[in-house]
Amino acid sequence: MSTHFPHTETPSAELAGVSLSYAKHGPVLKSLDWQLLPGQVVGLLGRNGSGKTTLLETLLGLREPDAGTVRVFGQDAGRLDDAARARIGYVPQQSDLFEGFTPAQLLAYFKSFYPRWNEAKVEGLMSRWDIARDKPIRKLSGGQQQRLSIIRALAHEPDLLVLDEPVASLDPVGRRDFLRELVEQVLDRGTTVVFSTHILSDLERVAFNLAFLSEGRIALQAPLDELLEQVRAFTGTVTELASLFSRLGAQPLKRTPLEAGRERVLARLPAGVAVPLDAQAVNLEDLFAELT
Amino acid sequence: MNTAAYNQLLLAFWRQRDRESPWGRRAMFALAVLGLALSIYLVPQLTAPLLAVAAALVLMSLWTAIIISLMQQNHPHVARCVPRHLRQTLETALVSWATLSLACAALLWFFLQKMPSFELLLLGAAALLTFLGWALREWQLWLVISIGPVLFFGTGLDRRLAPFVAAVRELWLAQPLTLLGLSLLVLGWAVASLFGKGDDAHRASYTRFDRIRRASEDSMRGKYAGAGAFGEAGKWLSRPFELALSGWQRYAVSRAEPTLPSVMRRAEIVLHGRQHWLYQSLGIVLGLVIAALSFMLAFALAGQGLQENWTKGAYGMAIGMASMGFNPAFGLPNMLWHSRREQALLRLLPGMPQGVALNRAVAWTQLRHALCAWALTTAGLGLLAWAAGEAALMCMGFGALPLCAGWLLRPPSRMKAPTAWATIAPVMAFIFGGWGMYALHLMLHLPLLVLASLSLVTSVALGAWRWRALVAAPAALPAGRLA
Repeated sequence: MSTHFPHTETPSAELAGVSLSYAKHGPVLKSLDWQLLPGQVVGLLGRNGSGKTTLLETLLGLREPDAGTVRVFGQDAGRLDDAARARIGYVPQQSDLFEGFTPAQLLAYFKSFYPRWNEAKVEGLMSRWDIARDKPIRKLSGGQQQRLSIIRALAHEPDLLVLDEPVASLDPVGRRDFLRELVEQVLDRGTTVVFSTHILSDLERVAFNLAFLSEGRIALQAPLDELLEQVRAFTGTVTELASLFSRLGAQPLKRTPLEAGRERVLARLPAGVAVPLDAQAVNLEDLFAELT
Repeated sequence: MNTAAYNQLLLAFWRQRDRESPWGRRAMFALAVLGLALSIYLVPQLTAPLLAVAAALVLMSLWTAIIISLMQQNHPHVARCVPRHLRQTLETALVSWATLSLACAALLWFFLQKMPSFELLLLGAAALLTFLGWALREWQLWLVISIGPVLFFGTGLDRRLAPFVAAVRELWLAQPLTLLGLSLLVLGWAVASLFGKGDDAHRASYTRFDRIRRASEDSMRGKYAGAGAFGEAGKWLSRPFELALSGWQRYAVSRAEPTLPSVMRRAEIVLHGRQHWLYQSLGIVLGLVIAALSFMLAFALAGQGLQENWTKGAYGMAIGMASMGFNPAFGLPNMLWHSRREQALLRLLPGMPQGVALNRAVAWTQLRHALCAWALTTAGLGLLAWAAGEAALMCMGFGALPLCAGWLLRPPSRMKAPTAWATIAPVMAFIFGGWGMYALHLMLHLPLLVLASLSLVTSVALGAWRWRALVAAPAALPAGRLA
């Protein structure tokens, strides 16, 4: 097993049977179960409006679920103590926050709350990402605001880093720098990272685990390399495929009916099973389209 | 002629109207109609003039809505890229201006007695609508209207320009229609000049107009854009405020401790933003200085002593002082809504209270702010009342106190997006409360001490009731997440 996917008994975050509805939009999360193990890097995938932000906010205790439990570092997410909160870093979807502050003011402000603050890392990233220290945040570009938000979240060296579409406003170079920083963070400190994104190529670079959010639940979570190796698309009649899956021990993930009693099925094969020749390989984009 | 395009341009203001607080607007409309009906009931002999003036005011409001909408539609990109858009916008504006000017003049001419000639009324109405259009684009024109008359008469310009005015009058009497026609042509050109063709000058003027329009819309929802919306002059004026708040932030951060007062002192900077007590205090001090200077200038230029006018102006000054002192505190819940995205990060900070403790801390921060503002403003009203010998001015303070408890102590987690009505409602409630107290004092001869006690008891009872509900509510931050 990869060093980035260590097995441990105590999850960094755990959601069990979580349901959450909005008064005007109906249910968003439906009896959702999810675990984030220490050192895992998880990419959260889901369609627009599928509830990714709601899920991440619920995980952090910023939204109270209608049912179920949410625990972070073993504590109730709604009542985290100071020590637990000092171990969390969060980059929200919007980066145009604290617009009246300058970056220097923002960082000094947040520094005053945290017991641990890596000034060298902050200075290094501020220079590397070329962020003016004394320019009001509202005058920074969207990409610079997002970079600043990431620096703020990394500065206190969190053990759990939650990022909601952190690279949406970044150019390719900015994204590459950010991902490099993220990987270093994980390699150096074993930080648990969960981030949502729509940029699938970025996931291929850093997300060792993928979680697919669909219809209010985590439809599937598995290491990316395992998914690409074990998930295949099969086409045939219902009877043929049922017999094939039974013989291979495959787990059907998504069925799409075709004409004349045929169907296309996305199925996950057990590890070590020889892949049938007529099975089609799938890429990350196919997985996103089929599983979300 | 394609009338559909003109309809789209003309009716855009109605189609794009704010639909967020219909009941608030209906209430305001009902109040206006009620006021008009009451006036007609009290003075039946003035029915026709009152209706005519009311109708003229409605027409002027209609013009304001139309011209703002047309100027907004005259975006530089649209003016440059959409065929015939500029010409059709200009035609719509000019036809609206001409029709509404004519209608206003006709209404006043037919229903009001002792009016000047119809030509003069038409010229006056057309000039007023033109001025409104320009003042909606260039805010500095409101300053001209505010202090212009004082300077005009105070510096003796009226006397110096008397020969010129007399010559124009002679000319008007000799050739009224020619002068009216020429004047209307100039005014029409001025209306047409409100619109641009997508060049650099248009882009600059549109940016200014759009900035003020957005700031005005935001302020109706309780979000204050600050003086920066007024361009470079505004930024220059707001610089001391920014420096003061920045200094306070440095102080709060440098003295940071893991204690509740220290944490909330820092959190308040984000929670209240431009409604922070320091910002408001400086704003009030600046407002008082400007008001004092204006009054002194006005009285000095008008050649009258201050003392003589003190009593006459006491009510106006009290209303101004009360509005300046009380109203900003009523806007604090709106600021919680506008800082809700930042609150998600605040909630995760070590030291930040959680659950019930957070509810108490946020509520107390707002209540303390409002009570301090109330105490200082009421003290100011007391001084004014003493100086003017009119103790009843204190009723405004008595009317505002229950609102500090009733309006501010609401569970932030359930608050809805602030609307124009939510911004105006506490102001109206305070005015009605103050007037109610004043009426009780005047009509029932209730002593001020009784009114003060009534206000205090109501406030404490209301506060205790709301406090219990607030403490039992879900965590206060982020605000509005359960709406």
